[in-house]
Amino acid sequence: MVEGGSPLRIGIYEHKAPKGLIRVTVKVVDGVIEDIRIAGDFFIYPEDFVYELEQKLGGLKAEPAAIGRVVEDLFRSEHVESVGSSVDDFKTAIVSAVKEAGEVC
Amino acid sequence: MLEQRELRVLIYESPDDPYKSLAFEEAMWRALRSNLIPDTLRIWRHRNAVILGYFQLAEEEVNFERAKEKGIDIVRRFTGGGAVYHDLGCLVWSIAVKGPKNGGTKFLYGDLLSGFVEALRILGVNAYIENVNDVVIDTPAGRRKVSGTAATLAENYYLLHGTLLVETDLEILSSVLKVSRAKLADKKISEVKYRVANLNDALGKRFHMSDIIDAIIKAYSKILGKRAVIDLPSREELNLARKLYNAKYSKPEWNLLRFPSKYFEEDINRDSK
Repeated sequence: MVEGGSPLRIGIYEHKAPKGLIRVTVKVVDGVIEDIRIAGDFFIYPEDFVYELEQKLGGLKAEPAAIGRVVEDLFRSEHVESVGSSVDDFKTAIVSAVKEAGEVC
Repeated sequence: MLEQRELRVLIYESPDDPYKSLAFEEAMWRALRSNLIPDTLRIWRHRNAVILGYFQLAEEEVNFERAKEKGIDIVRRFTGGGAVYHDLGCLVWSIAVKGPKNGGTKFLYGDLLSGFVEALRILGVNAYIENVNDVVIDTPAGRRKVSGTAATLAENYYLLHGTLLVETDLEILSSVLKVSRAKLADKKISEVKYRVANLNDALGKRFHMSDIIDAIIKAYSKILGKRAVIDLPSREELNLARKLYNAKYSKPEWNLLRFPSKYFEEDINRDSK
């Protein structure tokens, strides 16, 4: 982080999956994800996986490998079935938003 | 309760209160999963409403100024997918069934959606499924999208609901919904975008709502192998719908703020009125 710069950074990224747009807004404070929203017009089952993922990512270090692991683990443990998007689309959208916030370790 | 070899048909709407009719939709889905109702086909409409997908941000999808000017209500549904605009020229249909174990999204967007395509074919329209869940038709001007659908599933219970543009005001539709994907139009998109059209305009022929409804009932009756029986909402559905309306569908936290369903659950259960 630049000295004297704001410790709060916001990143927004829209990723187009084969079907559906995944729009991620992330708030990063001192290199840690404080708040994240995964919105869009995609289809994913069970639906509440999205909110669970948001919760799991909160408090996590804004670091691609750690984010990727959380997304993959939750996809697997919740037996997520998506239509027209994949676990990689969600990873791409989230990691890109974090990169937009400019706080990648 | 009707027998499982019958398809229950509900023509049940509250066109001036989309909050109420979306609350009923979730009540119907919950009632099905609790085995309180048999397989059900619902036909309904709204006077003037934007219906958002479960995961969408309202401000990204809706032109609020335009919605205010036209008195358009903004309501969220419990299924994913994109925002749609409903007026009385747009027929909404829902099919909620107990289906095969492990049917997955294939059963939803394959088997169940094929029932609606069959309905259009009964009407003499060449219809096809595209992009997983869009329904397009052949018109003299090329293929046009006349229907969008969304769906959910839990164990071996399935719900698919969709629109059919018959004679919707497309000028209002395109001005109240923001096309957030336009900026992505020049990027590589694997999904083919079809222009939307009304069934009546696209084919230069007037379809009556009654004929369309008849065709949808016939088609689902045929693909499910069940006799269609007209019914009214059950007491359980109406009670549940009222609770869902009071605790969830009348709240901005649900409609506009994209709070998760579980946030409202306690209030829904507490409401014992």
